[in-house]
Order: sequence, then structure tokens, then C-alpha cells
Amino acid sequence: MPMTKWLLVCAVIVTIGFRYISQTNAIQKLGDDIRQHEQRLDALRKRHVVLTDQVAGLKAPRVIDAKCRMWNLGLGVPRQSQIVRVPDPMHLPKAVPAQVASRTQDVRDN
Amino acid sequence: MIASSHTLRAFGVAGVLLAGFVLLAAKLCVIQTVQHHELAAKAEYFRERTVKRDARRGNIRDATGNILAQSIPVRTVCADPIAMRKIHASQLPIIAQQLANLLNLDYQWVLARLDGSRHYVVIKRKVDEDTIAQIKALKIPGLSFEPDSLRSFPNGQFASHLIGFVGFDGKGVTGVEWKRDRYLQGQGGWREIVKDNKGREIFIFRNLDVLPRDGYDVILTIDSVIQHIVESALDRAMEKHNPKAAIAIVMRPSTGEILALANRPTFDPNQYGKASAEQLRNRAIGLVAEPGSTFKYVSIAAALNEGTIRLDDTVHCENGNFWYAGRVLHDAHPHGLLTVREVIKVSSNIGAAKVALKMGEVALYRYVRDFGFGQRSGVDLPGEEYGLAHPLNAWTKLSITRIPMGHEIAVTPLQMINALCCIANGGVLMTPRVVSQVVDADGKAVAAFPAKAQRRVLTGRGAKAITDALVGVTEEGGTGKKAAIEGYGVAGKTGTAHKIEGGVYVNKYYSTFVGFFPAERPEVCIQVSLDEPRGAYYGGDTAGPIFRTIGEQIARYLDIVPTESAPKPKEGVSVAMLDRMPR
Repeated sequence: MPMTKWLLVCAVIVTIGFRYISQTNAIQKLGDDIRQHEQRLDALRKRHVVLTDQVAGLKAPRVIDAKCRMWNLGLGVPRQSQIVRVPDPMHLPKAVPAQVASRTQDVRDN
Repeated sequence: MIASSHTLRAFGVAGVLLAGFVLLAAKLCVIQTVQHHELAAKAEYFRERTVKRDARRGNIRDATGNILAQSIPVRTVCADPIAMRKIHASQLPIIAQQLANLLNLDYQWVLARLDGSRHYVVIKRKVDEDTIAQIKALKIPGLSFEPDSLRSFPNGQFASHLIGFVGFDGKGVTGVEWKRDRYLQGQGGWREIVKDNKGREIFIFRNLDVLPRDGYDVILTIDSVIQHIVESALDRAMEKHNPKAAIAIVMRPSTGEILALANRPTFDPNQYGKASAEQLRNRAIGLVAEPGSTFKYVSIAAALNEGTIRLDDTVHCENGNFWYAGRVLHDAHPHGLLTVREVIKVSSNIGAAKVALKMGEVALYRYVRDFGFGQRSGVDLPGEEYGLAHPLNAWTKLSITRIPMGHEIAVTPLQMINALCCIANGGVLMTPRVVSQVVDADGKAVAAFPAKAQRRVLTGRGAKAITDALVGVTEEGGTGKKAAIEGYGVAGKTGTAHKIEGGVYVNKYYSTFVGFFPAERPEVCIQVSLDEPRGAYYGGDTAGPIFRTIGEQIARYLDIVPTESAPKPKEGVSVAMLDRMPR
């Protein structure tokens, strides 16, 4: 009986020991993983900033203008005389609905 | 006898062992008590570290969110020459050659740096991450890479006088970079870590982790497209007129927002060290010069507002020669009777002088000050000049006839355009501004800089009257007809001022056109100034056409509805087709 008791005590101690070591290793591994992810995130953030800088350079009006001219795309804002302005029906004068109404009436009569 | 000998030896050994243990215990006591603090600090120094975490400087963006300035991560390449020599002295020339190639440096210079007798030398600063990765791949011992940041201006010299640049220490030196440095600079963080014997962090012992707070983004009132229109027009003007300098400003009169501001000569803020003082000078707020005839609108507006004159009142312009206080005042072309409207239209010096004489010195001076001359406009840019508006007690008898035509007074281009914006804004003087708001990383506003009215200078009726007169300048027979924009009524004023050198007027000119459109409901105000244009020098002939080019493009970009009938396109031609038509 005393032998069994001692064996049990030893087993408990060994189990606790193993558990402690495995937990410590797991924490260590988690720490390593977190650190690696932090480094990766940091690298990605840096890369993002560099790429944003490149995009900003490519989006510059000067660059777009030069490329339009280089590829002869003929893109540009139209002249005033080339713009047809269609009045917004919401902002038409009050007389207009009457005209529209009379036209509608004409169509019905026909 | 034998037993006695063994006993002695046993005692001897025991004594030696005991003495050893006593010494050991004594040493332990010394370590644990006397040397405790010193050794504990040393152990802590090697195990624990406080790692600084730098904040990223905020971006500068235009009104539509385009990035105009941002900080990108770079590294400083450093070396420990003593350590390198210990490891492989014979390979130093090869290492120097490799570093020189990758870092674009002189081989001899790199070799000399690596052959030194110090533990720390800087090989190159501001090296990009791609190059660092290539150097790391070489696995050269004794090299280290310190984190740093580089302020990048992806559009080069675009709006450089306005944005400014940052110095070696990462702090703003000029422009918005300096003015809003408080917002752009972030708050650094730190991390307290514990390292193992190989120098790796033991994550579970990370005590404190304070995240850095990156700098806020500053949003400008500048619109990149308008800025590009203005800069392109100035580049063409520099080629055509070859002036010493050129300045253009575009403002929104109702809010005081500066939509574009450009100077020539200019500089690339990415390489500000190579720029000369002339290139760095922001003339839009720093050039103080006599405005010439553009100033006439100030004196006539004052007289109209005071009710001293009306637009259709007539003034006799003495056929080009007006004697006053013993000196003669000339007009560029002789005129007889002119209405006040015509005085502005043909830019008569004598007419403007006579209007001012009728109004009186006190009122004229009051309006000069009220329009903001002789004082800073309050624009949020560093280096703004006051200009020169002499106090009334320093006026001579001639001043009342000279100031109305833009002599005896000196102004900055920004003061001139802001005064015209006041007229365009119905008589209310606004504070010009280039920053609209400051936002955090999520786009939430941290600080806002709304439109700020300084004071009412003119009544609405007074502003309307001077606007009517200024429209005539760009009509047939006016000095600024080359500034007229198809489809819009343009109110503006030309100016051709003699320059002063050594206290006397010389045959060098400062040509200006400043105007706004549509005159009926002003949307934008534009000033173009050329300093010493070659060949043609009249403001209407040089700055006027540049104003028109800028105005036409801005009108189309901002989709400003025309106020006058424009030629109609052919029937059956769609807008999409028109877009592809050659211009």
C-alpha cells in the first residue's frame, strides 16, 4: 500500500511536470508565431505604403496627361460648344408642364 | 601512530574543503549583497530591452483624396568595420564592391569606410526595402539596418511651394509640412521585451506594448486637376514669354479656398537640397511689388461704395496729361471725357486719380486697409509678407493720385486676388486657406478649418457696381479682351507695373491679370502674374490669354454652367461623339 501511494504521488508529480513543460512549449511556440505574424504584418504594411506611393505617382494628372498624349487617345474635356445641356425636368419653369400637358392632350386627340 | 597520521590527513582535507566552502560562501555573500545592484542591472541590461516604435508621419492629400506627400519606410545601412575585419579582412574589397554596386556609391569611398577603426559607420541613409533585401541576401556579417522613413512626394514638383518639404530630422521646414507639423507628426510608442541568450524576444515576458499613434492626414483645399491645369499653363507661359518668374492662384471667392497655387521657377521637394533660393521662393505670398493698374478696382470700388461717384458719371481725363501738385500724370493713350465704367475699361490713370481725389485720402486709406493691404491675409502658409501700405500721415500730396493706379503701394499676389474675391463675394472679405481639415486613419475629422469671413468691406450694391465695371474690361475695347472666356461673363482687371530697381522705375514690367467668372454668380477667381516678361509686356496681352486658358479648362472641369449663349453644336451630334472630335 505505501508503495502504491508513493507511485501515485510520483505519477502525479511527473504528470504535472510534463503538463508544465508542454504548456510552456506551447506558449513559447505561440509567442514565436505571434512574433512572426507581427513581422509579416509590418512587412506588408511597409509594402502597402510603397505601393500606395507608386499608385499616387501613376494617378498624377501630369502622368495621365502625358500618357494620353503619348498614346494619342484624344481624351480631354469637351469645349463649351461641344456640350449639349439637357434641362432637368425637376427644375423646369412652371409653364413647361402645361406645354407637356397640351402635347399629351394632342396625342390623345390623334 | 598510523591512526594518528590518517586522522591528521583527514583533518587536513576537511580543513581545506571547509576553507574552500567558506571562501565560496563569502564570495556568494559578496555577490548577493555587495555586488547585487550592479550585477542585477547588468543582467537586466542584457535581458530586457525597451524597443522604440516610431509613428508614421501623416499624409497630405488634395481635396479629392489624392496623396501629395507621404512617408515610406526605408533603412540606414550601417557597418561595424572592426567586427568585419576580424571575421574576413581579406574579403573587405569584395564586400565594398558589392555594397558600392547595390547602393550606387563609389567603391573607394565604401572601402575607406569599411577599413576604419570605429565600431559604427553609416554607409548610406534612406535605402529602400528592396535594396535592403538584396544586401541581406549577401549575408555580410557586421552590417546592420536601422529603420528610418523617407518623405515622398509622388508628384514631384507639383504644388511644391504649397506642400513644402521636411528636413533631415523628419520635421516640416516650409509650406503645409511646417504649418501643420503638429498634426502630421504622430506619437511614438514603445515595447518592453525580454530576450533570450541568442537575442530573441521571449514573447511571454513582453511586459508593456504601447502602440504608436500615426500622424493625422491633412486634407488640402487644392484640387489636383486644377493645380495641373494651372501648372501646365504656367509652363507654357514660361516658354512663350520667358519671364523671370510666373505666379498663378485660383480661389473660390465664397469660401476663400485656394484651389491651386503655382510658382515658376519651382523645385522638386524630393530633392530640395538641389533647389536654389529663387526656386524655393513662394512668390504668391512672398513677392511684394507695386500692383500697377490692377489696383484701380480698389479705389473705384471704394468710391462707388461710398456713393461719391456712379458708374455713368463722367470724368475728364485731360487728354493724357494731368498736372497735379507740380507733377504731371500720364495715360497710356489720351482720353477726354470718360464715364467711370470706361475709366476701368481703358484703365485710365488720370480717371482713377480724379475719382480718388473726389473721394478723399481718408476714405481711400480706410478701404486700402479694409481690403487687406499692408497686412497679412491670414493664409495658413508660412512666410507670408505684409506688403506695403503707408500710413496716412506718411502720404505725400501726390499719393492720392498715385495709389489709385497702383503706385506707392506694394502688395503680394495673394492680397490682390483676395481683394478681388471680396468683390466677387458680394463685398465680404474671406481669409484665404489651403487646409480644409485634418483626419485620422479612419477618415474621421480631428480638426476642421471652415470658411472664415474677416469683415464686410463693400455693400452688396457696391460690389455689384464694381463688378459691372470690371466686366467691361474683357469686352471689346477693354484692356483685357484677350482674357474673355466663351460663354461666361468675366470681370477682371489688367495691370502692367514698372519695376523699381535702386529706387527708380526701370523698363522692366510686372504684368498681371486678375479676374473672376461667371460675373453674375462668381465661382472661381484667378490671378496670373508674370515678372519681367520678354517681348510683349502688357498684362492684357501676356497674363490675359493665360487667364483665359486656365479659366476655360476649369469651367469645363468644374462644369460651371455658362451664363452667355455658346455656339450650338450641329444637330444629331451626341456628346459622346463630340468628346472624340479633334480640338
